[in-house]
Amino acid sequence: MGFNRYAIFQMLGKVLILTGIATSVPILVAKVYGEVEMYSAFYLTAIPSVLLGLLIQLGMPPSSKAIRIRDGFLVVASVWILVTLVGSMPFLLSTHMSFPDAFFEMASGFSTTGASILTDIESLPYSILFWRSFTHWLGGLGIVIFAIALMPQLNIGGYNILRAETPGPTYEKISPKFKGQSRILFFIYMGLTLSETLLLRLGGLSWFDALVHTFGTVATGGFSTYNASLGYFQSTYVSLIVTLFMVLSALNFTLYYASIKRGLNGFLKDSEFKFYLLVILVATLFISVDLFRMNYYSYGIALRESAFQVASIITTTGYATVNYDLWPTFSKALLFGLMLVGGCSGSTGGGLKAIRALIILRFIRRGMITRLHPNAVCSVRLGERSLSGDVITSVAAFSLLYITTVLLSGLVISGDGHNMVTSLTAALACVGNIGPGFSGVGPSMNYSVFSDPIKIFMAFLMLAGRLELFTLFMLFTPRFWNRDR
Amino acid sequence: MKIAIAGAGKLGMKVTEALLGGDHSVTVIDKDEEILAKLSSQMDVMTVHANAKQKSVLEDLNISSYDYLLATTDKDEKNIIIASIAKKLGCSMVIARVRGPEHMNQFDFIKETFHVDSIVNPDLAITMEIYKYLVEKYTLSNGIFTSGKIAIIEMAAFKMPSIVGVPMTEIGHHLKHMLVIGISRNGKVIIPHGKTVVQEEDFLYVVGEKNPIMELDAKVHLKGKYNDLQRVMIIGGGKTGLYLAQKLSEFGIAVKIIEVSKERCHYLATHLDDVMVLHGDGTDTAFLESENLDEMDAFVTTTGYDEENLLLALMAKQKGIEDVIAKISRESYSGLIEKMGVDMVLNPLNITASNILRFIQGSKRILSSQLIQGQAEIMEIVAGHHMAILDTPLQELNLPDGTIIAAIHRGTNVIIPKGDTKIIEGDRVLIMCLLSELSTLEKLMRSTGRLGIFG
Amino acid sequence: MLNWKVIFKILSAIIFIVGISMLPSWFVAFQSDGFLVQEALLRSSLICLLFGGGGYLLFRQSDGTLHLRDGYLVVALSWIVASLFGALPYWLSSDLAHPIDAFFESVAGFTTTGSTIRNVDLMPRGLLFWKATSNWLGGMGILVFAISLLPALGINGQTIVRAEAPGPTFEKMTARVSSSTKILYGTYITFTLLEFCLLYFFTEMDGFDSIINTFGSVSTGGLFAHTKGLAFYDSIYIETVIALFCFLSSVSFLLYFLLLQGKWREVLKNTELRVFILLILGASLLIATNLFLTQTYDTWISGFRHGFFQVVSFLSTSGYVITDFTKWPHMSQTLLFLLLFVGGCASSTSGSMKVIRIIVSFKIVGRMFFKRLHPSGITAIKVGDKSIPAETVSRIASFMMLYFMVYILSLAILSLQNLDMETTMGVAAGCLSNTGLGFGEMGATGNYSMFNPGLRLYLCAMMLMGRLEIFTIFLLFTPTFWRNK
Repeated sequence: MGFNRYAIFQMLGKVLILTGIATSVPILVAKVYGEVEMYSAFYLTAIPSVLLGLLIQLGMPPSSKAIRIRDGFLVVASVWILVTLVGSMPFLLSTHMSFPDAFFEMASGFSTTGASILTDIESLPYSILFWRSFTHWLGGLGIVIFAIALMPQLNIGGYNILRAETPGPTYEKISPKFKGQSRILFFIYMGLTLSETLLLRLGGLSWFDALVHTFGTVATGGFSTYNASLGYFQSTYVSLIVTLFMVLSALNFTLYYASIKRGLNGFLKDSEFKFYLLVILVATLFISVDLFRMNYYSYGIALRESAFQVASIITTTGYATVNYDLWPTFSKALLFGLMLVGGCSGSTGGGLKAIRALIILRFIRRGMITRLHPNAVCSVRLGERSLSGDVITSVAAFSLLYITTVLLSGLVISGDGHNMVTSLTAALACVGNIGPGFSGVGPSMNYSVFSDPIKIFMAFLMLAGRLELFTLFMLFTPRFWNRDR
Repeated sequence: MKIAIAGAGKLGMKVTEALLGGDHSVTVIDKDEEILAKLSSQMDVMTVHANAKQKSVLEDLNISSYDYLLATTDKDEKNIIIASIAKKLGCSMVIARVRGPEHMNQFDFIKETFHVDSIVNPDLAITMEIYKYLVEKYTLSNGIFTSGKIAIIEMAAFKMPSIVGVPMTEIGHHLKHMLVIGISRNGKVIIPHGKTVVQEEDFLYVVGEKNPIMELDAKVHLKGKYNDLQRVMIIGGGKTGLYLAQKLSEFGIAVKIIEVSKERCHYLATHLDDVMVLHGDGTDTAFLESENLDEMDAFVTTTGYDEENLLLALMAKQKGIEDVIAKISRESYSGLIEKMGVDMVLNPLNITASNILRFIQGSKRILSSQLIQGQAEIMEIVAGHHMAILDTPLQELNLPDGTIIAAIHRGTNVIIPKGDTKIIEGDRVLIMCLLSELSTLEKLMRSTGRLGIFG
Repeated sequence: MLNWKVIFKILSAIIFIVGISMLPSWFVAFQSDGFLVQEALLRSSLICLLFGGGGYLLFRQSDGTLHLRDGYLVVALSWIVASLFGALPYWLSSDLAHPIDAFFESVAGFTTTGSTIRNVDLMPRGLLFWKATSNWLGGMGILVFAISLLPALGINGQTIVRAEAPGPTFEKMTARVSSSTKILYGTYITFTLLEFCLLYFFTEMDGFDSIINTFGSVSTGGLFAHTKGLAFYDSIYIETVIALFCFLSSVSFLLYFLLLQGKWREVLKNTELRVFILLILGASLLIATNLFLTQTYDTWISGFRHGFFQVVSFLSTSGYVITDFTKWPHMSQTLLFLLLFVGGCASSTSGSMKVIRIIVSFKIVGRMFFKRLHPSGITAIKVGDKSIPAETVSRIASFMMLYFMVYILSLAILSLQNLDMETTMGVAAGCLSNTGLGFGEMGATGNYSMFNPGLRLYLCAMMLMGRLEIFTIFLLFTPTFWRNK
């Protein structure tokens, strides 16, 4: 095949080790809550993982072959699948969950989707619930960032893999070295995590709840430990904090770094940021007015609820404070539109990514100008920068693939016997890593109604969406395996 | 014969040189005075400083008295017009050089409409050679020879260890009733003489009667080398690259072509089906490696620069690629070939020139011919009435170094010639000759009585 | 500078034509309807003739070239004007008292959407005939008709046809635009006559029904002669004939031109045609199987018959109905919904995005996969043997983006009616693609009276946008269009 087996297995090995270590963390939680019977679920996952990882590490003969693009794709895809598999183990070992269910839940966790097949979340032990949310946090950072520890040992450039992993067309470099860059991202991530946890704690949540919901926010995941999701807390303060942090987590992290150096200008100059805020504000306004005029809530509450839901959906987190499926159709249509946008590039958010939406709008505008003035030379600009034809083509192609994937997946899901809205929004919710959709997959529902094969299919969709479609789909093209064509 | 050549470019000059060897009278027409001046001082040709497109020029030249006109100016369309006018004015045969790919599919139409007798396309010619080498190289034994009683195979010397280290004079003991008419050594084809010794890496061209040859073939057949060609990388998206890529991909081979000009890449992408067009610099090895250079079955360099072609070819050979072919247009480099170890170095001019020469020499005498590795030619001719080669024992014929009589069809018999064999009139003679010696061969076959210098 | 005089001249011609074409309807009304309807039709006709004739005489001398902007304006205005004047019969007969409703019916007629506000069975025959006539005129294009009748207009026909043409046109049929349009209409009329004969002489359908159905299928409008749609007849022969002509009309008319020249081989090799046929067969098979497995029908054949017909109906964007498909299993409905986004072939009477654009999008996506693996690779996008220039590809991409964007926007606007999501999604797709059908509450035979007048006006806008390939109408709303450079 010609793949760089050494590099691939090395990476898998390291990932196994790290995942193994990660699965031992819930043991502490189990200890705190006295769930002695849960220990085995975790250490029986952790220890074999670590051992297997070490074995692979030591067993592979070293090679200095360069990592090529193909290797990069294979590595990233297999790492995510591997991690999901390993992560399913604790569930399989401790509960009566079937494999498709566990795989689905873990794929949902690591891909930071937040869709759940659980019908009664609150009945599960704390440690398992912790693990479930912890996978969000881990996934959020991306296995790639774990590689801060791995990269030096592998002695490879790392850019090949990053090209396969990193979302979005613009990736500003903050630091010349890849390692430095990852470190900075990690610290920002930690910063957000710690601050939200503290703030939530101040709001009256237990440490456990605060931590778990922070995991869900910062990773824009959406898992809650309560069946009513965030509606459980019935607290404006909590709503506001979570709203704030959902948005913060969906902003381009490199902007945070830039703001350290250049202050707020770093943010204000970024077209994507401005666009994002604009969309959030406008959507919140419209929805709140709609809710108010349709007599759902008083205006203040309407504002609060719409702000939360808008933020939750557009950042692809997926938390809910109320069952928005009961909202007037106009608000739902707006939310549906938001589902298509997604988070900003360079964040943990999923979906199409705001910058692509912005580029598409500018692209359409350019289309209008060239139709009127066929000889005009017109470029698509973002801020001061003119985008090259390659970038635009890439964005257009990605968007087309995204839409097609959602539509066709919706068709497949409908074959399982679910109505149009359920099927299409379920597809969108999975590919966009949002979590809840409408109708059959609304915020008060769960994914247990789907058949096992469809669950696996959806798990696959979630991972594909997280990896920006091409990475995972690539493995299914004959072109990938035949290097000559 | 009287031959006119319009356009003193590389091809025109090459053909002139070759023709002079054959004692023809050549007139060269060109617009550039300096070139003509240099030319007339170096070669025995008549030069005319004029624009061959003009009818008056051709008339003044009395083109109707000429046997051949070859139009090799810089533009295809000019060549077609010059040839057409010449034909109309009475020149016996006209040849035009047409290079553009747009005309590739309409040669017949052009020939008919413009009354051009023959069209040569150097890029296509070299493509055909490369193609034949890569794809059909071991189908020599299919034979194109008329009687069907003679066959030629190419065999690897190491397959028959007993002949390694043996001089030609003694090879008859090992290869009975056969003759070694050519050796391919390190990419260069040589015609062996008595003292030539077989080396281990040599490939021998052996001619003989059909059955013994077939038996030999069965013994020395190189398995695995046949039709195992799956991946080819071509550097250079010019005309040769384009033609070759097209031909190879039609055959089902996975072709990657690398071209440095983005615009040209777009052109290639539009005109080639099923060929991967890559925009990049062929000298960037890292780039080539990322496109799986290591796994290529063949590597062909056809950029516009000889030096690049050679260097790239060498690099590829070092990577261990089986078949490495380089296109070189300057004669002076061909001497380096042997030392380089490249599998095949092709000069498009040589090939085209030989095509033209063959046409000029007339198809009546030559029954069939085939190029060997683009460097030598096997042809079957009828021994005519007054040919210089008649009725003399071969060992006394003093054939030039690059020529060898491979076999003789006499009636229904096949004769594998030895030193004392004589050629009589009516024989169908199979001759193997290096391209560079073609003009000398010309002399041998002229029906003007005995050769002056050969007594 | 916009050439207003010539624009008005053309508009006058259009109005005149509309007036003339009302006469046959008057004749029908004369035979079967009450005095009110007769009078309405006659009066409308006279108004149009006067306005149109008068205007034309007034601007008869106007000359000059039409530039691109004029072209767009002419097209947009022609359709709006035709719809306005075409609404007169409905309004004057006080059959539809509200002017917006009259406008709606007229727009639905001309844009070959085929939707209706009212119960068709209750509609006076004269008006129904008028609606069918407007279907027929709009199918091939009012302007195309105008140009073939008045070659003088055709001096600038090039610009107009380009602005009105459905789909990207790669080549012209003849040198002169007027001869091209003549050929188009020639083929169109031939189909009309052929189908009429097949229906009138071989079935029990009376002349009136035959004409209505013929006009409706050849224009892919989908006008029902009876509220139950074609289920009224319950005849496989009729279904087949109608499906056949819907199919024929949704195939590129350029192919028929090639057939006339004897180049049938080229026709068979046409990629768009092949894909179109494949889509029809594939979708029908899928639906047939789905229907059979869910036992919606007793036999697979029965499922296939219904599935095939509905698929052709949806893909050709005609909108005929032989059964209430909203009772079908979800997968079949979802598939039909998706087909609304595909449509027929370019240069035909059908609507939506057109098959060729779908083909090109897939190739765009495919090229992206290639580029990710071979970053320095260069590929051309080819359909069949022809290579498509980059600018055209860009246009196709921008069109598709705009289409989806308008769809989402329309969802939001239409959702103000507060119908459920499924219905709203269906209606939006149905109108934009000029099909006229919907799902959910809209049902297979529902009518648009569910929407309040303001939204009905928006629906008219949607139908016009769909028919004129969005950009034409959109451009009118951009400041760039009106700026005098």
